[in-house]
Amino acid sequence: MASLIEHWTARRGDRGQLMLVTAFALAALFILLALVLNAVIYTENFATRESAGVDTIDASRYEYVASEAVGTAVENENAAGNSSYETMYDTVSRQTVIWSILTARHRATDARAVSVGLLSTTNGTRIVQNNSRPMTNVSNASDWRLVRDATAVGSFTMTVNQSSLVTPTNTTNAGELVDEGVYTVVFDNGTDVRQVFVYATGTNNVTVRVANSSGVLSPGCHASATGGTVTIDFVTRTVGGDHCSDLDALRTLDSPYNISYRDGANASGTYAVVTNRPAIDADLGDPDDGSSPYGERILYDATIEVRYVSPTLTYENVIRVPGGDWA
Amino acid sequence: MVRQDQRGQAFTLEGFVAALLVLSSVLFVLNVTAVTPLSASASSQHVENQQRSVTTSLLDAAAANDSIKPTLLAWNDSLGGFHGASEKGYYLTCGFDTTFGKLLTRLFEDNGAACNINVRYVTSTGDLRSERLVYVGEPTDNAVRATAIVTLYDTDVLRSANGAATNTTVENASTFYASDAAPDEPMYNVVEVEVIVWRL
Repeated sequence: MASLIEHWTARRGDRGQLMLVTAFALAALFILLALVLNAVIYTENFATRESAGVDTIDASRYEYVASEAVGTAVENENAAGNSSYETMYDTVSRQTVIWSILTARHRATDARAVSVGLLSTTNGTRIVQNNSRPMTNVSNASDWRLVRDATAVGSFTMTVNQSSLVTPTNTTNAGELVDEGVYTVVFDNGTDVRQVFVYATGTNNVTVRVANSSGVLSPGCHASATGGTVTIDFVTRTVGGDHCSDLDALRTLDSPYNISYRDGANASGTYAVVTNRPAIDADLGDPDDGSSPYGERILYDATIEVRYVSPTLTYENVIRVPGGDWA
Repeated sequence: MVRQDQRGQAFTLEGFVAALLVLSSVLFVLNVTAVTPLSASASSQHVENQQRSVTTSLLDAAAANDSIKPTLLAWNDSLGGFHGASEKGYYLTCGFDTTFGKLLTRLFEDNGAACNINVRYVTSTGDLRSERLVYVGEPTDNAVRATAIVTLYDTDVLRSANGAATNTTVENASTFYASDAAPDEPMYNVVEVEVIVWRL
């Protein structure tokens, strides 16, 4: 009996040690598990961190706000009026520098080096007839050239008075319309020509037809006058707000081209043209003395260089910023 | 019998030590992996990425529909604080009564997230200063941050409490937070709107 008790006692002693060893083993196992788990988490953390992606997004966002800021500076200059091209360039350049310095100050706190610089501007002209009068030049000549050697026309909208237009009797070809003195906007690049005829049909309608170099007339776009007028947009190619497929022919004309008016006395209304040419000549009046139509110096567009440097990304781009609501 | 009693006490002690060891290693493991909703851990990394994208998109959307600027200009010039803000001059919730504020409410406040918004500007001497627009509290470890650059012009006018334009330009305002960083130019200042968002 005594030996049996001794045997149990000895076994109980063994089990106490075993528990201790097991506890130690378990503890070590948990620590190992924690280390493995941590390594997994650490790897996943790095794999999903979008550091490079964030930088590229940030760079393109900076480029966008930079183009907005320079665009606004150019638009402000254009709206301010008829200063010299040099003055307008200097003002925009100065504002670009200030904007660049201020934003660099902000972005530096995130370890980003940014800058914007004005590389160049395109000298352009805005030709405006604000008050409704015949489509003649400032000295009332009926046939005259509006724009010379333009490679781009930013906007060209015209509002014509329906009652002022000629109602031709023969409308089968361009020659007949010319003979009847129909008001025409002529786009001419020296080898190719597009004549846009604008005339009245019926009591309240306006018809726009385009003739190519061989004088073949397009079917025509029609619009009824609202408040006695119809608006024609030569850039977005609409007549009275609706798309005019006849005007699509203007897109196939190679630049540079001239824009002239023929028989301007046979139409009246208002218009505004923006071109990328510094073309102010004797046909146009001075905006400051109230004459019409007048030509005004504007900056057609600006070219800027944007730089964005972060620890993981160096980004440089040269972009063109339009000086108004044109492309 | 006496020997057996002594060994029983030893067993109990060993048991306690073993339990202590097991419990402390469990605690250690939990602390090392530390996956809790508020800790900046891997489980919240995806949430953080998403939150950052949402915040950046919010700022881009607000810039696209011109709603950031009216909020920056919703300044009560006589009291020297934002309209409808606390007596300290800033808002205490992530949302207020402007278009931008309503966007914040819909995106963050209604979805269990909090935000702080600071407007940082450069003084005429070139120092960087910050004005609180929203201060909810101290952000947690997993807060994310997004910024947007807004250009203010001399002709920009302060807004009244209902969002309508007043006659006071930023240039003529007496208590407006940002000063004219370019006094001779039509540009007034370039401010950076900093949004810090975290889940509650």
